[in-house]
Amino acid sequence: MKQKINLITQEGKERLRLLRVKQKIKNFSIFFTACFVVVAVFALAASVLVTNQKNKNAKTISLLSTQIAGQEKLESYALITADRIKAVGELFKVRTSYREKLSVIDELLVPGFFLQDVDFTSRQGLKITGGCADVQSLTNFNQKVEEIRARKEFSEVLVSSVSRNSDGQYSIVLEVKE
Amino acid sequence: MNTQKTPSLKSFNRKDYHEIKPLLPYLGVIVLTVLLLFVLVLPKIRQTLSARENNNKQAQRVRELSQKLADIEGLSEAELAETSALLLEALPENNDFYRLLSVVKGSFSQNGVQLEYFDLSPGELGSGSGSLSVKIAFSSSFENFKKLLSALEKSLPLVEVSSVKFKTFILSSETSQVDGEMAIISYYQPLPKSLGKVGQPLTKVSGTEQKIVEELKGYRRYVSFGTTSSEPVLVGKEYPFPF
Repeated sequence: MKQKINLITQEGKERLRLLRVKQKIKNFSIFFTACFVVVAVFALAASVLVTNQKNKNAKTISLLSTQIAGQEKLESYALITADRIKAVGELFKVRTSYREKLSVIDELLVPGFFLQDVDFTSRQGLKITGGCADVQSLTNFNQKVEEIRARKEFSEVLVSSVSRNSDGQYSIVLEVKE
Repeated sequence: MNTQKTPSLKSFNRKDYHEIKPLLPYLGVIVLTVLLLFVLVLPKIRQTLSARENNNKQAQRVRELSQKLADIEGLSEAELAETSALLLEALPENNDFYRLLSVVKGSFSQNGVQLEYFDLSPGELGSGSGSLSVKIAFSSSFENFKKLLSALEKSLPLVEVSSVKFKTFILSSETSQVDGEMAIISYYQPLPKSLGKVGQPLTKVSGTEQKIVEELKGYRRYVSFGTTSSEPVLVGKEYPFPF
């Protein structure tokens, strides 16, 4: 029967274990230090690159700002142009166009009818105050109003007032809305 | 009888110290490395990430400024000067009543409408934006009156006839005579006070807006007030503009 004889004493075993632990600690410290150095180098390099880029951007921004400031005259022309075009555009939307309204007036000028007042800005339309000398011209006037109404060029064509004066003339107020 | 001596604490620690002593530098390096990691390296990494984010914002600003510069350099100064002058004629920067009177005088004169008198209250020159109104007594044929309205619609500065009151309206196959009073409004608006920030994008004019400029180019400009021109003078009435 074979017997195993351990020639290493207990103390020796202990010593061997300690030696292994020491070696592991040494290896770990070397590895950790190496990793730290690598990370530190990368961090430093990245910091340098980012700082360089930041400085470069700052210089570029400063240069571009100076160049733009040097074109102040052109920029002010462009600003005035844009500002004025917008304002004129808004004016055109609300400004009265007379061509259409004058053609309505022309059409309503039947014999015997006379104009007294024309309001071009009345509720974005036309308000005509006039008179007819006699009933025949009033009839002709009404006929013209009906013709204009039938064409449906305007949203509303309204005779808002008709009255007869003591001298036999008729006063009329007509409103035409766009 | 136990002959083994109980090891004393002193001898035990000394033995352990001798065992550990060679490892002390390595342990010291680990501790120092950890310390440096937390004190120097990690803050540096955080700082770099923050700076990188700022760099991205700066890069965006560089792109915006470059675009603005390119837009400005693409503009023609002569063309812009001409366009802005035209637009300022259309919508002046202050309530300059001389311009309004130029339009009135010129358009009345060129369309054969007699200007009897006018009533104008300009107010303080250069105040804010708004409108200027003038009441004018006129006398002409109805045909010339219609021509006048059409002419005023296409005049610079931009004006508007808000109302017409007729005192006399005679329209027949033989005679055409109208006279009365009309109210004309002219508009003004102050110039922008500043160019805004450098980084603000350039305001561009769209195709639709460019059509407004093209339309205004066809409008009529009248010579400045005070320049002599032929004008019908009613018999028995003084020339309304003696100076």
